[in-house]
Amino acid sequence: MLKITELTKSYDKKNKALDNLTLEIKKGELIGFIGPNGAGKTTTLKIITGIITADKGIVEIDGNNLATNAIATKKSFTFVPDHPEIYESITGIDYLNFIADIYDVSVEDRQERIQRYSSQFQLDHALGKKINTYSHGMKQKLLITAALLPEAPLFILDEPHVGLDPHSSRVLKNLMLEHCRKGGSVLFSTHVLEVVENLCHKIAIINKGNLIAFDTLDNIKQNKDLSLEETFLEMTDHE
Amino acid sequence: MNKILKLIRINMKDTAGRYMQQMNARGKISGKILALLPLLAALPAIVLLVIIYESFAQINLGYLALTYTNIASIILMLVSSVPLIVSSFFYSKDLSLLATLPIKGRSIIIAKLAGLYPYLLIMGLVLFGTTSILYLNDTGFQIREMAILFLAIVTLPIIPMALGTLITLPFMSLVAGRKHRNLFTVLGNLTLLGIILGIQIVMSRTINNTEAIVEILSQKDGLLNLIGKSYPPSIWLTKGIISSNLDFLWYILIQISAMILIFFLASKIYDQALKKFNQQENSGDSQKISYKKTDIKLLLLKRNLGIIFTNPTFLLNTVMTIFIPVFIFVLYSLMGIMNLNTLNNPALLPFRDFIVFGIIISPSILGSLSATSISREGRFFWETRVMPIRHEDSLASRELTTLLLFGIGQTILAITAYMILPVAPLHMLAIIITVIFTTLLMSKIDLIINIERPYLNWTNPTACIKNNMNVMISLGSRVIFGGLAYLTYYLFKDMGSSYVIIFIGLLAILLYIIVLYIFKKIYVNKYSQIDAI
Ligand SMILES: Nc1ncnc2c1ncn2[C@@H]1O[C@H](COP(=O)(O)OP(=O)(O)OP(=O)(O)O)[C@@H](O)[C@H]1O
Ligand SMILES: [Mg+2]
Repeated sequence: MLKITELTKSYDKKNKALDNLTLEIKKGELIGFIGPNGAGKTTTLKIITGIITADKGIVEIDGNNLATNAIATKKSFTFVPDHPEIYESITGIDYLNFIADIYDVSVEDRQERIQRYSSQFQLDHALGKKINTYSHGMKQKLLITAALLPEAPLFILDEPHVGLDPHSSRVLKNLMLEHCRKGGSVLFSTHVLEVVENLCHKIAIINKGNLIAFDTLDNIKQNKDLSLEETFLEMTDHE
Repeated sequence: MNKILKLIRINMKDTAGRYMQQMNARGKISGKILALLPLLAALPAIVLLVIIYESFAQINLGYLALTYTNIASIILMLVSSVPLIVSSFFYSKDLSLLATLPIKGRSIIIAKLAGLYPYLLIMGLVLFGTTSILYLNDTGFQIREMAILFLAIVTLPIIPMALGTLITLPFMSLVAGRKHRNLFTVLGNLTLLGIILGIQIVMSRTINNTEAIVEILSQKDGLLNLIGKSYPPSIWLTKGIISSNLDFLWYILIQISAMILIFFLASKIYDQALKKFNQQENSGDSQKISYKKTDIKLLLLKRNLGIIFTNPTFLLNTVMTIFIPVFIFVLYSLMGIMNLNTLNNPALLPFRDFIVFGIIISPSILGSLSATSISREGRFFWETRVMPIRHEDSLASRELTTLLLFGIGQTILAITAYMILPVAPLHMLAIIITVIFTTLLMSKIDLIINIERPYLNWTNPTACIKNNMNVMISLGSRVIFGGLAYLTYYLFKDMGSSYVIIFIGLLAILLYIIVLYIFKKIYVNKYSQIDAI
């Protein structure tokens, strides 16, 4: 589904934010992406989604190369950024319709999906309001709804649980699982290890731009009797 | 194509939504009145256009006014399109959202250009549209002429947009990733403006002796060719309107080629410039860490200056504001309206004090830096709310920022004006004192306007300055002050110019005291109640 090969990126030509990162995600996999602050999670996700370009390396999604076949590649994923910068003076429904238009979602489909997701997220009453009147969590849920709308095979999220209430957080977890059950894949970064522990098929750990682990929870713990938290701290400890 | 339209639509909805919100925030009726204010600003321009047209019409060459305003519109549009392109292409917030969507780079560029179109069209409507109506009125509204002029007006923004894009983008891709790219952006923009104006000066320096005029007049279409020389399509258009279909065809063809050119270059432009520019954010070395303590007022002043200096749009606007008289002078001298000799003309000697006064005061009359001093902060405004700073200090630092910038500009202008147009030292003193108090008054009024209408929720810096009604209202206050100053002149003109200036200064002091009182009584408190976003 997603294959990234030897991604390298430096913002200032000195320090590498990403160093030869290689990763492959298969159909149906739910991947948690964790690492300390500044490890390179957002950078990786931004490169995969085409917001920034890597100095070196290849991004392939669903068999398409992002560099040479951008439009087709972008049709096969959607993205929820960590700092949403979207049009603010339009209503939520305007924004959803815009996204649906861009991804060619039919009128019947968009109606059904928008109603389903927004009622699950308890956002339906707010869709007619301007986005700049939304709370942080509402905006986050609108972006998630928008990203679910096209039902693209790959779903990429940068710290999606930040700001969600327990109910919405649960809804999101279920939606991610459901997406994978239907054959899609999910890649999301987070600092909430509990979510990763309970939900993900595989865990990718990144530290200082290097992928230091990419495996199932059990393999990462190496059958030691440690929690993911303890393992994580041990692996990323600087001293 | 479909996606381009969707993109344009969502952008228009967003802009319209913001505009409506800004209007509705202050009651329905006042909102409607405010919406009409820009029209008021166009009035002097329209009056000037009528005069220009009439003078051409008197010698039966009314159509030359079309050539003239066609070129004027093109220059105005080109000059305005450069900062607009920089702001909406490189500093707008939707770019990273757009980067993830399956939309071609070309579509993004075209949609963004389409977003600029209305602004430029309005300029064209005021300048060329007015002249067109005057012309049609003279020739009896014939269908053919009406159709051609309509086509000419709607296509008018194409060439400036194409040219603006062609000069801006290579430059921006050069600057992308540089350490001081903001500074480069501003310097580059100023250079571009300089070049555009410079070309105009060179082109219009032809008529300097009577022989040349006689020769020009003796040729067929001599004047037309002379006026239109710097921009040949304006000649084709004029001829097209008068009679020649062939010439109009040329005119349309060049518009179409400009469109095709942009269409084919668009995706390249996106990859080479836009994308590159937006990903190398904040590159550069980390700076030395210091733990020095700074006085709070100085800190606030630095912060306000920083907001201007780190944002190319704000910086450009500020620099332009301060040197408006210089720009106007250059513009006038290249349009042949006046030059240094005109100013030194003995006939103007009795008015010299006023001219010098006018030159020095102009930044604070025409620029309204304080009217956006709160708006400029935008999404960072909450910081001043959260930090333990007295509202008075916060406000004073904003005013100080304006005064500092104007002070620099006005000092330069004062020295230059004094050298070119010497006036008696005592008169100069009166002028300077009056300038100081008028500037204080204006910046206080602007600050009050901004407190009344904070407008913090903007998406790109141009929107913060240009789409902001505050600037219009601020100019309105200048018109009122100008009226009072004229009244002073009218009443005391027999006492001599320096007395008139002193009386204007007293008027400014009086008004300043009143405004200061109102400010302290009402507006400091009102400022404390502005909601950050
Ligand atoms: N715009 C930028 N300009 C310069 N350096 C940057 C930029 N964005 C990120 N970096 C650097 O790249 C590295 C990786 O940052 P990134 O944002 O990818 O981290 P992250 O893993 O998402 O962290 P967090 O958990 O805090 O979100 C950091 O060292 C950061 O300093
Ligand atoms: Mg991050």
